[in-house]
Amino acid sequence: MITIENLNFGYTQKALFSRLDLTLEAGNICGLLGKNGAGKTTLLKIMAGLLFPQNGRAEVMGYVPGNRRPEFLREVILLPEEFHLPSVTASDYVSLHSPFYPLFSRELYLQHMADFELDTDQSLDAYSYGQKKKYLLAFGLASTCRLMLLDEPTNGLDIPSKRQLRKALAAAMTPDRTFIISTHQARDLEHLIDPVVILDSGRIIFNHPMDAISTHLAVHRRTLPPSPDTALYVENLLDGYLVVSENMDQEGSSIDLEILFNAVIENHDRISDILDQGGAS
Amino acid sequence: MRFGSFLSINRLLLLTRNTLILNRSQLLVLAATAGAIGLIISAFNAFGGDGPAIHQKLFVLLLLIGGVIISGRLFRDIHRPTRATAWFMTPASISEKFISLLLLSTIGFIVGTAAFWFLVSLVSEGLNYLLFKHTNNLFNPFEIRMFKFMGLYIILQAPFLLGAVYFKKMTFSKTVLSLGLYFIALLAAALMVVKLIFWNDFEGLVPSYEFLSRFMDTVGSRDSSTVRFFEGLMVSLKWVFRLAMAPLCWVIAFYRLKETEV
Repeated sequence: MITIENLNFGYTQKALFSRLDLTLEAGNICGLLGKNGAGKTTLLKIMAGLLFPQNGRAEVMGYVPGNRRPEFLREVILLPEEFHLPSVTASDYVSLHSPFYPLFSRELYLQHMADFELDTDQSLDAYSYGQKKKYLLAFGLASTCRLMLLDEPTNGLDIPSKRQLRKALAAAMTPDRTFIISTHQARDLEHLIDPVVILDSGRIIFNHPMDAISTHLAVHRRTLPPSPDTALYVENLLDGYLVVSENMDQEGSSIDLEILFNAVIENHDRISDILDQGGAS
Repeated sequence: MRFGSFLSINRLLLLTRNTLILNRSQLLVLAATAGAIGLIISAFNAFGGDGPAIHQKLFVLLLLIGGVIISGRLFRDIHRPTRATAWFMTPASISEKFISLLLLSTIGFIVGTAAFWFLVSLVSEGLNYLLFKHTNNLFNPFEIRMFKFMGLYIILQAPFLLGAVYFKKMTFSKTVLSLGLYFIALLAAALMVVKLIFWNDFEGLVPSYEFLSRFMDTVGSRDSSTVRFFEGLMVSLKWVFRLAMAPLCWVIAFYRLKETEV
């Protein structure tokens, strides 16, 4: 679905990505995590063809995104963090834009509009930020495109809307469809995200499916300080310690994505070794 | 690349329709303002102002000034990050997006303005007759003179369209400034070439008095082969300018647009 090889990119003199490699298969909801300024949005823009690699290769669904061919663009929806919607009603927007998407499903659109509790006859201007976001999401899902790139989709959504978003994404998953979600709010979507991709220092430092993560890593609460030999990451709590360690039982354990992210940022070499080798056992 | 990826008439029509619908309120305000100004001027002019062909003059003003201002704003969406994302992500090729705006701002604007101004002249002269029993000529878009101005508009509009792609802010003034600098540079280059050819006849950057006298004498004798050569050269340059200026600007604008990142 997505192959990026030796990608170099930077703004002005500052290099952001240096020989970045990333391969993603179709049929997943990929969580793209990274610190502020790591380049998550930039990477999404390169995948969408809004930015061009300075060196290296980016191929998405067999297309070079930078060519911006209509066949490619109708298979990709990018929901950016900041966006503009014209001063038309929701139904007018659909009439204007849906003809560009040959597989657009009006039925699905109405269903998502109902799920998101959005009025189809209302002007898009009158929607709140969260409603606008849900509207674009409803439109994107109804386009039945194969790739949706979502940049901080839960920002600005209230608690029920986040639940609606999770429900909509889960229902929209098909084997040939991929969602790439860049987020800082990892907990909002942690039961959906699989695989987890972490971007740091211009490279992909972590790209693993959730089942491998939960099989090989475990998070425990401890009251006593853990041994530095076994602990991959330790976070101090009021009443003890939160410890990420190798999962010796090899039985799936629940992993908090924020803890995982911090652990990978702090100790990615050891964690990657454990996952790449399939565990120490 | 398949031709359908490069240019599809269906997508071109959809883009054109969407541009018109999404900008209809601005277009209506502009048309209403221009129409109201036209009615007032034509009413004053009916009492022996600037001759009966006032609508022709107003049309030319609207075409040239209004046209270049609108052309300078054509690509403003690509310079605003939130709008640019939607613009570039719309499933149509860059060529379709470019051609749609090019056609709208050239042929579309000319035909639309001509038809609109014919209606304005019809209404204004009807009112003038009813109110004052004085009228101006109706606007006739099919006059040869009007066709010449329409041609001039297409040439004049092209650099402003290019400026709209190039400059993020103040596109109109930056384009005027760039054109000024471009012509100064062209003049300087021409002066350098003349100086290189007639090296001994120059005193610094200025031609000598003797050289200028000789030149004026030559120009004065109309049958001189030098004069005929320069006249021919000027006519050729004028035609090169007329035929090449607009396509050159369009091609540069298109490739610039293709390379634009968001």
